[in-house]
Amino acid sequence: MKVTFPHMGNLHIPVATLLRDLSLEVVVPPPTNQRSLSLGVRHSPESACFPFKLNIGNFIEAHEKGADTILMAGGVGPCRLGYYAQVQKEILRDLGYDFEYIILEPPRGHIGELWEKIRRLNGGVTVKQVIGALRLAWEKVLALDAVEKALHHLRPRVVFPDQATAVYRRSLEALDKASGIARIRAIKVHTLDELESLPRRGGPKPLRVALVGEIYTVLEPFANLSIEERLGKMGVEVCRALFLGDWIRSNLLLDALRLKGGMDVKEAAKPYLNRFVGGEGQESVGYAVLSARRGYDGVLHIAPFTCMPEIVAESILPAVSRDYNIPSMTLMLDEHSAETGIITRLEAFVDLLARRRGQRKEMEQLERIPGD
Amino acid sequence: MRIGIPEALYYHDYYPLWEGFYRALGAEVVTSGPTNKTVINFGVESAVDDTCLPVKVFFGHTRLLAPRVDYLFCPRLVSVEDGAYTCPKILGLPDMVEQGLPNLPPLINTSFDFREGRVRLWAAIREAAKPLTRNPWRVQRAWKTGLSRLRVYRELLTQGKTPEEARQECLAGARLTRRGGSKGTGRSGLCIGILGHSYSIYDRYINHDLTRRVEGFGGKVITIDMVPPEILHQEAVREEKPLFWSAGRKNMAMAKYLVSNHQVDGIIQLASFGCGPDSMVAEVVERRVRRNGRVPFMLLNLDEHSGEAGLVTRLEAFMDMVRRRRVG
Ligand code: SF4
Ligand code: SF4
Repeated sequence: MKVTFPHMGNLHIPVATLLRDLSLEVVVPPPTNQRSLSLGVRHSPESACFPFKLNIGNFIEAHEKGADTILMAGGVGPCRLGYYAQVQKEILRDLGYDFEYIILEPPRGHIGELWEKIRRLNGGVTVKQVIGALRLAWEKVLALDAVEKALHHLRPRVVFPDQATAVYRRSLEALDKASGIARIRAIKVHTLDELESLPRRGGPKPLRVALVGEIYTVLEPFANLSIEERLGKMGVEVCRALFLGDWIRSNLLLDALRLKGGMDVKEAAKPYLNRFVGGEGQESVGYAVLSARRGYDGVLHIAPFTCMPEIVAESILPAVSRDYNIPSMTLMLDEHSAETGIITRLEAFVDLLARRRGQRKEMEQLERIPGD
Repeated sequence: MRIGIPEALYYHDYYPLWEGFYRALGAEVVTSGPTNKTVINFGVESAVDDTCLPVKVFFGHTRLLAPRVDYLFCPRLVSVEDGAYTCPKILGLPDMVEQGLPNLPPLINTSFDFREGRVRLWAAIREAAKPLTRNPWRVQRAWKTGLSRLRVYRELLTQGKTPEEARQECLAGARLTRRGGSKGTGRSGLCIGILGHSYSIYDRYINHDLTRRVEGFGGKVITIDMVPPEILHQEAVREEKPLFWSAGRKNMAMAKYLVSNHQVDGIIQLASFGCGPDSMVAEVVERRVRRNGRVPFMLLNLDEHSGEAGLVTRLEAFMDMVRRRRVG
């Protein structure tokens, strides 16, 4: 049995570690690329969500490398993710790919059931082995999130943003290979040091933009046209609310409906959207409000084209913008999104934020001039 | 007091219930009338570009109705049965409407979640009645009236009446008469199954009068509402993972039922542009029907730009093919 799974940002690093430590043979799909995209688009329904299409591409490319079993997250609705696996099964079957499926369903995704699934993958596995593997994988998640956060903070502040990106990439490789908790922690500390010691540029504090939206699009640079890197290079600090660890916590480990996002986000969303609408719709609204309260300069909302919960959020964000006087922009992305168009819109948005900050400064200075 | 009910989304499924309920409470019920060009234009203007056609249509109806009523009925239908939702956008509908349309009268945006048990449901019903009365007995009586209307309406649909006919008869005080299922399909003529959301099948403006056209080509139409719900339910629970969208669940079950019972000569699946559930459900239905290979299948995608001419041409070709298959 050779197990594969879909890509989502850096998810493959902890997942591959976990599966290998359970003595399974793992086939990590080639990093999502132009070919995965066109394969996915060709074989998926046209109005399926973008992550769905990229999954299909990943699976086909993994099959070419010998994978025969797919590990997927499930779901209980209301959004499409919970039904991805069923539809993908039908498509891959018609294409003649004969995969086994292991679907992790969240609601009853408690330890007992998880255990059963693991036993199905590898009958001889011991509890101790599983716990060890989980700890190692989780440690990697924590390290990845910490390193990424530091990257977002520093990229707009260093003289050469590409250097920061390079350090980060090297760190990802090292973390992927690391096989002990001590080693993972050492890599993390080393990377953070390295990032910190990069030469800084002076000048004003970078603009701060909150990046909210559908989790796959937020986490997967291929899907969001590396939006964080682009913003970083423009000297903008990306403040992201959701990291890999948050997704794993809410989608795989805990009840997806109750513990997601935390209470403060829900509270903040309440006046606008007082209920869970699937995916990250409510979180997007809540984080937009929190970002405004924290004094960020703008909110960037990204999601796949036709994404249902984010369309709800998109409909509501203008009200948040108006009430809190914070600019927001929604980008709906899919295989048709033209890079140049997106860059133009991003640049215009950043310009707007910079102008507003300038105006605010002037206002403050004016206010400081004592009256006569 | 005038309560406005937009003729969109779940209107075709539940109208007699809401109408019966509010009339019994002494309100005047005002509807927005069938979809037309103005409705579409209003909807396209007011709703976000990226949303599905049916939500745009709902926005259009709501905008049309808003200046004419004291309250707008825009409930949050979270779930209408165990183990299933409606759709994320329906869950967020009142919020989208509230933020997206200016100058609205107060909304009746009660959440209905049929999974939460009788107590919660009862609380919701009372909340929906609040603008008119707080007297629980009156509310209960009104709800019963509404429900019995709905039952008659559904029965009439099962018998093959169109929603307009069924509504008329309900209004005229039709009673429940079990005629033992649908009038047999009488397999002499062609029979075409039409699948999709009720708001795709019954909105004649959106689907360019599909049902009439099929009938014009000599086909008899069978829709989801003409099959007894119990039968569909049995089919639905046989799925390996039953769908968690009510409409999708019925749609899928209906496809299975039609294919396995040799009930139809062709299947037309309607899908709305930008509809999340449709993108998944229609895909699975299409693959299964084609794999089975016995029943011709056509997928019609509806959007605000889909032209009438294109639809007619495709339908003509499809009906031709169906007829040939039948003879051959
Ligand atoms: S949240 Fe958006 S991308 Fe995810 S399944 Fe739902 S519609 Fe698709
Ligand atoms: S089910 Fe489809 S058509 Fe209906 S509201 Fe949801 S996305 Fe729109």
